[in-house]
Amino acid sequence: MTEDRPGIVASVSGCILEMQGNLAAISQTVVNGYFTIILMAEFPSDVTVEILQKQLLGAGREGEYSVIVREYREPAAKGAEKCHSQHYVLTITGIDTSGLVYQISNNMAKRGVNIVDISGHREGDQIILVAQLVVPEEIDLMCLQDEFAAFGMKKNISVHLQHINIFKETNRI
Amino acid sequence: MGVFTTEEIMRTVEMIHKENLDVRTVTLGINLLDCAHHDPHYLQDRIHKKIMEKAKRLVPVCEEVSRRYGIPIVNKRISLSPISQLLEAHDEVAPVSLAKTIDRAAREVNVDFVGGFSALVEKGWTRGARHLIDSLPIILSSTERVCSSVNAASTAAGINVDAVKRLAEAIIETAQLSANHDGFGAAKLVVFANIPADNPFMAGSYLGAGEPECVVNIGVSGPGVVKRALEVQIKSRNMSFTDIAEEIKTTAFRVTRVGELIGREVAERLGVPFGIVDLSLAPTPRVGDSVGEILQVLGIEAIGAPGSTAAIALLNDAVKKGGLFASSSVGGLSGAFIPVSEDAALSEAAGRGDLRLEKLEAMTSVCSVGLDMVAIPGDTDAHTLAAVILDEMSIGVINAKTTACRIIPVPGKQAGEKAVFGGLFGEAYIMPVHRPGASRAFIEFGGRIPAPLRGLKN
Repeated sequence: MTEDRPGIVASVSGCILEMQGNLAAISQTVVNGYFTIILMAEFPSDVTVEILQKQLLGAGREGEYSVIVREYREPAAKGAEKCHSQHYVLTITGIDTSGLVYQISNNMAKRGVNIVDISGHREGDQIILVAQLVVPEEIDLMCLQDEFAAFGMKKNISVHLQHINIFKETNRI
Repeated sequence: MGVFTTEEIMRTVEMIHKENLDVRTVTLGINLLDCAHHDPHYLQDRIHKKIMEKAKRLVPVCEEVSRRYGIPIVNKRISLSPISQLLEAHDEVAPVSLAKTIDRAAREVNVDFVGGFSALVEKGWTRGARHLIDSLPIILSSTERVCSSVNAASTAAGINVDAVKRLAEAIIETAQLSANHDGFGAAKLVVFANIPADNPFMAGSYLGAGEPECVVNIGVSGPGVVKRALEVQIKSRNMSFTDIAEEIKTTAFRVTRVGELIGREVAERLGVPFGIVDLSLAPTPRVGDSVGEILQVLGIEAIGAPGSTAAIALLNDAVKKGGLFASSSVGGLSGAFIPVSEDAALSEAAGRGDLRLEKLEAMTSVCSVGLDMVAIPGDTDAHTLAAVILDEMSIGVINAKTTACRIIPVPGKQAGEKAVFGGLFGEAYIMPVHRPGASRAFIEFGGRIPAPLRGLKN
């Protein structure tokens, strides 16, 4: 993570290339002027976590980048998740109050609902928050929606939980 | 946000929650022809059993699917095989008790309306059709959910003027029997030219020949979505009619896609085939859910003024094109509806005298339905009403399109007064009919107006 400027992706990917790394996946975003990127890459066996971390820190200006490197491990639950869960989109709009993201995400965590993507921003005092959730099929969807609706009424915000397919159908040919 | 931008997500959410996009109806078609029996009690029993068996899960399944996608399914309905075909071996009292049985079944499965108390008489009567039509006044004024449609004309056959005249009498009698509700019984009867076999909207829905044993047809509606899309674009840039048509098409695409998604899922859960999605801009009395408001956004300040017909033609055509790109299963009526009482802006325009019956008739020649939910003076005579219907039938027959009449002569009220039907049916200012009584001799010729040249295609 770092303050955004042109050239960051070039410097990071250039560093990976110099170390004979091969990019497998990449996702990057800028939030309020701060750049974050998460990458997955394969390296020759002599490239360790420590070496890679040091090289990446050096790819930017002094003290510019915050870098975390981890060895990749296949997630255990991925196969099961795909079979027994559905993707939904949660949208929240309304007056911003402190703790909204925590309250929602904490409730989801207790139920085993995984937040796989989340983005939000403020326009004045209004918040727009959009999250993609993976909801296990054993969860009663209507109960979950009713809870969100009650939460929304209490906080004076609009909360909607809808299956992802409606967004696919209305936004893609 | 993964594969979608936040803007795309919020666009869909706003369509539903701010712009009144909904699935206006999920209509389950049920074939009843295998219930035919000469004994009226067996007939009623078989029909009741079949409706219960096929439709008992319709409402719960619709509610599950509605919650899954966060989109309202406003009405759950049933359409049946034309009942006149089951009455051919029965006497004149059979239709009433059969209608009550069907009404009871509809109540038990909790649907809003059941269509199909219908007859196809474009070329002539059958015994069953005659008995059905003769019993409509009692049926429509004494049942809650039963709807009727009669196809009195087609491009292939011409216009059965005898049927039109008899139907005009039946409409007046029905209205009089439901006088305590401003003649609302007549709002459950539609006279058609070129009736579609798969229309999911009431009161004209029935299960036509060639439809399967059971089928799910969807009616999706979004005049508010179209209005909003146009408002945003017109405000932000100079637009030509080509641009306007493109914007309507794009919006119609999204709306149709919603309908198909819901329809396919309901059909799959019920274990029946999915039929069609009818993309019709079907207004409700709610402000912001109006076809008339779209015309106003397009610059027709007074609906009914010159330009109104061109505007509705543009809208109707663009809606159809957008829908056709979105789905290979578009059917029914699919276009713009102009039901006067059900559209707040149209109703007001009629009240001000801006929208007259003659202009409305012209507009029907370029859009999807016809003279729909039109209230006329309660003392309109049958010959004049028949002549109004005949004019609308002629538009459909000559132009090879569907047209229809759902006209309510409001007992005890005159032009300029208001009829109040309530709910989705709204309220309507009663529209004057020009020169009542001046068409009697014309109607009295009777018989059939022959099919036009266009009907002889082979």
